[in-house]
Amino acid sequence: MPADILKRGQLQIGESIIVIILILIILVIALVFSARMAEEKYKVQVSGFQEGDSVETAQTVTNLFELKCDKEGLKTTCIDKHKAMAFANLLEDNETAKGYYSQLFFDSKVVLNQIYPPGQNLTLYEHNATDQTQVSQPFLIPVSIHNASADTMAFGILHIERYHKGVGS
Amino acid sequence: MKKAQVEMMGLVVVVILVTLGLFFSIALQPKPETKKNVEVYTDEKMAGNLLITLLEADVQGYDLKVREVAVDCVRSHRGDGKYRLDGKSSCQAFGNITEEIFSRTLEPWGEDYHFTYTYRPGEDEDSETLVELGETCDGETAGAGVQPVSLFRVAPGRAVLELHLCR
Repeated sequence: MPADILKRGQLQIGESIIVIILILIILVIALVFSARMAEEKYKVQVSGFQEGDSVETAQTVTNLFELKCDKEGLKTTCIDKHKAMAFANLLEDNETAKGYYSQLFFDSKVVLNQIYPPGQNLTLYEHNATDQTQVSQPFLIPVSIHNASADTMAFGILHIERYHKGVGS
Repeated sequence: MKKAQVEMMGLVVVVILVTLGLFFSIALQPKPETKKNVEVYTDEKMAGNLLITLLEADVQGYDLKVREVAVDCVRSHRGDGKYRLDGKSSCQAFGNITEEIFSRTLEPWGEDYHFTYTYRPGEDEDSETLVELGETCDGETAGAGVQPVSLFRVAPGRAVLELHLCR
């Protein structure tokens, strides 16, 4: 075979190889980008679901008769101070009660902070808060705290954190 | 022939570079900030709930609600205030209480805010700012709460609390 034909053939094969390699590189880059975008979208969806869970827990807590105050004509979300203290004490001592409320609040932490006049912080519920790898954004609700015996009203914040197992853990 | 092939290669390289450029421009494009439902709910409700809950609270050391102090602030602005709390006028006391609450809530949460308590004596008159806390939001407001304070049998006009949470 003449040498110049051989050389031309080799050059053409070399070109094809380079083109295939370049196409492969472009494909790999496209795959990486699409995978990253899909991952981002998935993360946003998961975080949306988790925050939805916090809202659900918040609604359950604020509408619970065991905590709600009986004062009439209030436009605010109201928590009865004595009921809240009794509720926190009950869940501290009683495993059956804790088991029952864990079906309502799942793995979460609910804290009532009395802001004005300054008062105590009361942990109403805490379940599996330590062994979870992920915490959703805390959900905060301004609440009135009614002391029925003194008939006083304080400004408080209900702090709700819902815990979720990390993806893949 | 060889020169033509080299030119073709150059063209291929240019096409590849343009494709890569397109990939990067799409990937690095800033995404439009869409608020999640929860965020919308939180921002819209938070400002309004803070105001309404603030008005329902009792004043520390006095048999008075914050709402009554806010009403008396309008009264004292008109020259016939009823209360003085720890030597302060109702407007000063109301400002201090509000500031204390926000310093324990919005500030630790990293929220910038602008709070105003305004009084408008009549339709044809301008609003007067009785209490103002925080700086006016530079950019967009994430959530705003507006809470009118009833001045029934106290003073003519309209008193309004406004709280803007800055983005």
